[in-house]
Amino acid sequence: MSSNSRQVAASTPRTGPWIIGYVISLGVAMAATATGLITEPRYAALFWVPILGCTAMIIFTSWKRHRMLGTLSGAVRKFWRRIVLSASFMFASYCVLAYGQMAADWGPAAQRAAYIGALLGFAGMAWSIHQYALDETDEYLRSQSIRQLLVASFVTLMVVIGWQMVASASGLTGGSLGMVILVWFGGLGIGRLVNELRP
Amino acid sequence: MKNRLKVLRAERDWSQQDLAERLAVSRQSVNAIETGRYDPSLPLAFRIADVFGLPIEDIFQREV
Repeated sequence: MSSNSRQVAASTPRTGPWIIGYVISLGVAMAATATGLITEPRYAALFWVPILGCTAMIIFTSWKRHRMLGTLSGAVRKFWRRIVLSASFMFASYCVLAYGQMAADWGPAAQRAAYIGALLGFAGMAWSIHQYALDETDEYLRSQSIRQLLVASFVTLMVVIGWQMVASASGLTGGSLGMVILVWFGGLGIGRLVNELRP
Repeated sequence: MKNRLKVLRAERDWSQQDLAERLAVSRQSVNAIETGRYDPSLPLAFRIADVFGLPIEDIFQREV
């Protein structure tokens, strides 16, 4: 690597610390839910703050890194446009859902609509990531993104199956299916770390 | 697979970014190929050979 390339690479913001922060926040939230530490929805919101904060920083630093390294290809631009749109839609739906659950006068139909909105937002995010792997013309970056997706699938399956086994053995009842989405994103983060450590 | 990408690039005084732009790939790809972490596909290997004006076998060699 030339000294100029090394300087640019060294000065670009790192996503690693934010990914680690996301995984830790997620673990704490899952443990708190499973042990029954969080029962009130308003307190649950406290656990969302670090998760969402780290998510925002991962998106921001990744985008900045792409810009500084000059790797904002057409596929990457499309990816960011799609992911920001669908993430905003999902986040807005979750906010509506959380508000609806706390407001007693909201009927089940409105809550169902918010659930569907959140699901569509997540589907949009998952599709954006898969579509990027197809759109990317740079074969090395494509192979990296495919490895990241495989790591995410592996992590998600391991956590879900492990959680189920622990829950069956110990009688824990906490945790919701919605957490799988967060685990998958955590898995993508771990995949990114794997790519950075063993490129 | 071994390659002489780094030497050939240095002979021409090109940075990784220069070579990446000539090949229409990312700088990370050039870095991964140079350091032997990634073996390019046949079309990309031909593009590399074209950029340096050399036959493929002068750039890439089998690991003995």
